[in-house]
Amino acid sequence: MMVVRGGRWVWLLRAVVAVAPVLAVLLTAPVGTAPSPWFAVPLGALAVSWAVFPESVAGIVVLALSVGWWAVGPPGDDALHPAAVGAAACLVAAHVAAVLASYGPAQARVPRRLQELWLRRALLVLLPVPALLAAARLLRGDVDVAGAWIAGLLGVLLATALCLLAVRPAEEPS
Amino acid sequence: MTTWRATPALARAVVLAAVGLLAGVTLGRPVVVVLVSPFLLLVLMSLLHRPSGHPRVDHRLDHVTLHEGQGTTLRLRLEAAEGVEVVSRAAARAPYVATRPPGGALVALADDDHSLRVSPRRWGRRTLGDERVALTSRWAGFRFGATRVQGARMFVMPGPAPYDSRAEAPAPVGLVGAHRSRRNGSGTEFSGIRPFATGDRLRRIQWRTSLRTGSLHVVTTRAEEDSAVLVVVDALVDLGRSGGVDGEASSLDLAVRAASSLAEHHVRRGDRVGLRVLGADDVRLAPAAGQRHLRRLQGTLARTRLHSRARLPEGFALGVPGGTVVHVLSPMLDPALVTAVATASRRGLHVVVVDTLPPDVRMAVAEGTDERLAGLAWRMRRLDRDDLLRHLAATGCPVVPWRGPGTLDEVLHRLARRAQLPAMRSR
Repeated sequence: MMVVRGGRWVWLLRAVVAVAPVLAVLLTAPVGTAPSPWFAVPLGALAVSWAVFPESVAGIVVLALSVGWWAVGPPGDDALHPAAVGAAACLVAAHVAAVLASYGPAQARVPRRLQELWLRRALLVLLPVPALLAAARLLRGDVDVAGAWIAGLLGVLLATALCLLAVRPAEEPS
Repeated sequence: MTTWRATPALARAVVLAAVGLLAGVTLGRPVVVVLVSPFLLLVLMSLLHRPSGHPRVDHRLDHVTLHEGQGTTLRLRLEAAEGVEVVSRAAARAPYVATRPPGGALVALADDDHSLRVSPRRWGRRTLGDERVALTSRWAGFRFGATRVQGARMFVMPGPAPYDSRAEAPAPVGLVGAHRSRRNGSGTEFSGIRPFATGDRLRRIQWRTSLRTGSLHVVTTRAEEDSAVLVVVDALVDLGRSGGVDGEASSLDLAVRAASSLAEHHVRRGDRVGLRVLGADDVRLAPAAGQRHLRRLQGTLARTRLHSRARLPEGFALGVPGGTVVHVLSPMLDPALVTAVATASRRGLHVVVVDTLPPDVRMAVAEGTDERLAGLAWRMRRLDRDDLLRHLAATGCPVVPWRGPGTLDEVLHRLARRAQLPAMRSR
């Protein structure tokens, strides 16, 4: 089994967890809405705490704040900028780095094969992002409001179903 | 009961995907949907690979009995572990047990080697630290455990400390063996030529001398005998710090390892070796020979345990039959043991004391004790001990520090020479 030295890679993974969400927010700068330090610095602090405790709720808060900034920061459809692909990559990178860091104790080495596996997975889930962005840019202003509400409702239902499926405990052995 | 549970990573992805979709649609911000779409995929993939089995986790050592410094593998046994992608192990630290990977923490893919290598660093019974094992499903959606697995036990025999000696045994007494006897017998080493007597074997006739003298003469040879050896280990105290097989050695470490080496050496030479461990239990093993007996000796040594309140009884005696060579491995701090050794030596027994007190040992001082005063007391105790050892040496009982190979050569040669001289012994 090819193994990478634990210490160096653990630090690198945690650095990615701490830096990537802030980078995702800073990527709104090319759109013309750089985040204020009053937002970026607390976000960075939260990201650091997430890096220290990769399984903590801080992860949800950090990712939600980053996405939230993209929702409220850039005005109108300006947010549909190619930089959003980079932001999505940063968010996925932070999430994947946290997953790798949380597999075992801090001193445990993460095998290279596992790192490569998650790198492939990260690239795979990022594949639809440019397509979705392109579709959103094409349909800019053409979306029917009523249809959007129905889609939203379906989305919520789907999300609820997923949540229920996720938290349902496995059946006990007979 | 342990079961598969959603990981924080899945919870994070679910919340982000759900909230993002909702917010994106209700606020009319498609960029949010774009940003959370990878998380939606992560959730979907995690749910698709949700495992359903109930794995059973256990571990097993490849070798339960081994010598200190040797290594073995602690294998994880997984049953009904379909859908497991990653195995995480974290073993608690155990004294005198080294693990690889260091710290006993391991993350590995389920189809890779996920064994821990362990190596005991000190003799005795060793219990490995309890282990926590977590199994993670594909896409890190679900986790089983961490399951606690009780630490495995191993029995560690003293390491093979290098020891060899070419010295003759001072008092061979048995019937067969490798040592040259003082008596004539049917050995191979030349002793002399004497006139033929009834019962002599014809093949022993020395024809040249017989022809010259005109009467039959035969060659006599030295008999070859084994020797009875008693190894006495002082487990009444353990002084110094024990750093394991490749660290500092305490007095008991030295005694146990030296005893094991001496026993191995003498058993290999065909001698009968007995053992007496002076400690909490006065353990005795009668002299015997052979590999099985050697294993019994080493096993007994490995079970040696210290008892802080163990004392030798009044009038303690070594209790060994004549002709036995006695190796006493002790820091010689118990007056009863010193007296017993001196008495045995005066009675004509061949006693060798191997001093196991580490040279730079310092007394641990209890809190609230004046360190200067304690240091002074220890110095006085050591002076007293040195004086006792000098007196012991004066009675003819050599005292030597353990230095590995050849430690006892010189003293055994001297004892062998002395054994051939006529002596007056006190009874």
